[in-house]
Amino acid sequence: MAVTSDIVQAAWVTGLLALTTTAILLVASPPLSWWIARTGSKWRAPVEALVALPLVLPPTVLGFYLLLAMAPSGPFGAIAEAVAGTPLAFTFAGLVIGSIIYSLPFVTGPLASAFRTTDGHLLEAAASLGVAPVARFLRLVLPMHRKALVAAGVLGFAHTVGEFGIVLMIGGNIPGETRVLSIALFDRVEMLDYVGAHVIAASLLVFSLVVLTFTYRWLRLP
Amino acid sequence: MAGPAVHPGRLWGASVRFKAQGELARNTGFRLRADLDMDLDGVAALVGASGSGKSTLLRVIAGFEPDAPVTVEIDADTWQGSAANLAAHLRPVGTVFQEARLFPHLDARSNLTFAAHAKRSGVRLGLDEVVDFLDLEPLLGQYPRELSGGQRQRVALGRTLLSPAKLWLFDEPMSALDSASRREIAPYLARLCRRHDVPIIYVSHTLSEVLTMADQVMVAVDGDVSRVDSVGDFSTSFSTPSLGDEAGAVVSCRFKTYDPRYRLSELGFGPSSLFVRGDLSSAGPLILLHIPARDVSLATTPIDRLSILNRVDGVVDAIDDQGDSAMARVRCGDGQFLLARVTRRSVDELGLAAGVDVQALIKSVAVRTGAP
Repeated sequence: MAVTSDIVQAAWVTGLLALTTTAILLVASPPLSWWIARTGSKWRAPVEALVALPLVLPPTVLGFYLLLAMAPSGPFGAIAEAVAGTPLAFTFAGLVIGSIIYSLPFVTGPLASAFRTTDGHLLEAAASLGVAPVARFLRLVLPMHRKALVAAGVLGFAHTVGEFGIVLMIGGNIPGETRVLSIALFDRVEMLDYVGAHVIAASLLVFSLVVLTFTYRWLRLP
Repeated sequence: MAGPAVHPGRLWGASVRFKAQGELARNTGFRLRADLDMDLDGVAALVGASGSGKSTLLRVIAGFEPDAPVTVEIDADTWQGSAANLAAHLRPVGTVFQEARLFPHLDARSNLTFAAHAKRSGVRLGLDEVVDFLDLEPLLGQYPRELSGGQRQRVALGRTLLSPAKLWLFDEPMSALDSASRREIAPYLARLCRRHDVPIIYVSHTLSEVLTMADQVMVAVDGDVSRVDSVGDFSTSFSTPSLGDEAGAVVSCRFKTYDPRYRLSELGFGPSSLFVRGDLSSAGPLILLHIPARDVSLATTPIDRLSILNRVDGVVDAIDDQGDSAMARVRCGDGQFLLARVTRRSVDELGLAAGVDVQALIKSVAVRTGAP
């Protein structure tokens, strides 16, 4: 029974982490994606590359630098310690920050692609009606791309559920705090508990498959 | 008593000072040169061949070409210039585009009320009035994809009328409408702009539409927009592209009396009178008439007994040989012109030439739609 409750606890931490990360990304990503999709600035390419880094770098590389930054001696760790009394490394908050960076391209990328298809004529029409830029974004751009928003959110959520390397580097393995399912699975395999490993692995596999199937089906609905 | 002819900017009362000056060159070779400094009042038609810069000029005024080195001033406000550049959404100008540009995720009602919170100044019409007139009630719950092209354009027109504006820009707003709704909506727009003192700049390819709606005409030629005519001068200018059967003068008259016995209104046209069917006593001090050239005959000696009531003395100003027939322009008592289509044989037999005294016999006149 201890085995099961341990898995449930890891599932809870995983779900909470993925939800928090997705929620923050769905607020932060649309403006960033809009800027990437529409700007003529010379900074667009460098910023896009920065956002896309997690796509190509081994997660452990990102995790390593984040660990340094979040450690009590690192800049973010020191600030967090001064403000909250605890450094970021090996905390849930630290994990959220890592996940946001890690999943950012999976939300920002699809959104920017969708935003690029925005009909500029409609934005002109809204401007001609006296609607300000921010209101145009909130009342026109976002609702017109609501499917892309949902798809980006699902991708971000599923990707956060599946992350491993960054969590291992900056989260450690604290039950109820930073132990997520992917880490729990690794533990089981190390302990040669193949039954427990199967439960976790199969659950993650089925979950991802079901979520993606439903998302792709929904995206095709008129 | 010879009053002035139709004077641009003095027709309907309050007017808006409008200035658009500058030159915009694109690397495609297109060039727009605007040199307009005028009082906008009522409907100003903007005519010219496609590619002559009409739509671009509207885009500059609306604020969609912020980099164009064209100065745009409305009354005392500079909308665009070297010092200031007002963002499009802050310019109190409503634009109706050639395409409807409805927001696809909103039904017609939400499209109409999209500007409900817009904070800029200007005249704002009531939803009920607009819905009522444009007959939008049955469409309110429908989405753009469920509407026909004409229905979409009507919603787009309503949406613009519901946004605050001091000036309306219409870029061929009725090209998607059938001719029946066009005949109905055109006079409504003309009335609206006079009632609310919101002038309209109206791009049109349909010259008959211009003659029935416009008070002023701006002419775009090869990217050059600088000529402004009163609709009267425009309608009687030989350089105006041929209107075929629609060709004819637009003249302004003053209401005199109404005779209920014959149901005729007597209108003062210079020193003469014109009789028009119906009671026009409430049509305002100035009444514009369209007098088709095909319905005007010329006589060189006065004719006394004739069933044609409307006879006006004048002097031939010019004759334009138009191949099959000729067009005579006749200057009447108060300086306004009439056009008469005559055969070339008549020109020769009557000796019609500039300076000849004639009597114009007018068989029919049409009161222009859109009187306030």
